[in-house]
Amino acid sequence: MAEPETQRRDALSETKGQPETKAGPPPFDGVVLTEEQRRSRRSRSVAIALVLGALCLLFYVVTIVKLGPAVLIRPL
Amino acid sequence: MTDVASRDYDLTAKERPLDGPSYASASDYFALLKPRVMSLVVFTALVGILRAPGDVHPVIGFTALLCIAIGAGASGALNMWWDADIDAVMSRTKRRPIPAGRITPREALAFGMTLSVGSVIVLGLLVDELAAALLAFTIFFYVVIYTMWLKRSTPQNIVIGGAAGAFPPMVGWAAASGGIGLESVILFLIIFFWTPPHFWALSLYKADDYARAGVPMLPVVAGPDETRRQILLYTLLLVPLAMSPWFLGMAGLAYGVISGIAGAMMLALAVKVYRIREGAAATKACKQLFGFSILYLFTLFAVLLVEALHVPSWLSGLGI
Repeated sequence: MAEPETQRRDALSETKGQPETKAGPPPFDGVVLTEEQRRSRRSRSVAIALVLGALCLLFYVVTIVKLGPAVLIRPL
Repeated sequence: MTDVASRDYDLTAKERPLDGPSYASASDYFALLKPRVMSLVVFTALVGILRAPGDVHPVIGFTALLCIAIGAGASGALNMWWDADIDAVMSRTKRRPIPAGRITPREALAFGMTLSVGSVIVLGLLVDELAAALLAFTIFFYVVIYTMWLKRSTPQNIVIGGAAGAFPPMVGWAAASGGIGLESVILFLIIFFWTPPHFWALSLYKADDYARAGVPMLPVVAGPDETRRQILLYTLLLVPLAMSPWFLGMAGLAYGVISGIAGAMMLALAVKVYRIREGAAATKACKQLFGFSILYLFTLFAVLLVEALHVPSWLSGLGI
């Protein structure tokens, strides 16, 4: 079975020359995404942004349509 | 039932941790919506919207169509979530996003549920409550009644389950008119009776696939001869039913003529499937019926759509 491409990076492994602490696990510095995961996440983010924008526009237009032209006839 | 999330997926899924960051792209999620099925749903729903009595504002009509499309796509995603084990062993479906390992079952479930609830709520808030209720029932029927229950338990799965695919024009009609008319019921019945010959023609030449997946399709359970007999019976019911909008004065002569000719061709292909039972010619006959059945339904609804949009004055002058 292949190794998972996702890797965890700890801060200590990147700072060479510094003494390792003896007690406790190394501090966790987050998940490093592979290039494929990064691309996928970007495409999902763009899609979600477009969908949310379209929903806002849809609700706005439908609101105007439902209000009808009478919305313009009001005392100023 | 088996817990889908705990199933072992083969292929590339083995190389990817199920609980790690997602590999799914936007196009993978789009594939979950079964876009080809969705396009037929959108088309039939559009006919329902445009043939309903009264005028519907284009924006409201578009919103209804969008919600119906998203609801149909959501039920497709939930279907893929539940049937991922079947999809993985069938040649026709093994490249779908879940068996291919591009989307985890959990992601598909969350996506399908979110879109299901969202589409129903938006349809109810912006268009019509009855249409929203019908859409919710359609999603429930397709996912729970058909996918989770009937599909794996009875050879009548696609007969009863076909109702789910028949609802969209009725939902569209309700969205435009706020009610359910006789014509919308007829549109429902046309798709309902069209579904068995359509799917059984496919299952006749994909019987091995269904048998391997353990799906009790009619050819697997009752044999190909009985399937051919039932295809013919359902087609004999379908053809006059498809012409009924003309008999009942709901559609013009153009629809009557076209549905009559297309129905005769559909019937001829069903007879061909019934008579030719062995060899490559039998498979070819089944493929022809399957392919033509899609064209047949599309033609019927396209003529109804054209009639709803515009009847040229020289045709209306002739009573057409």
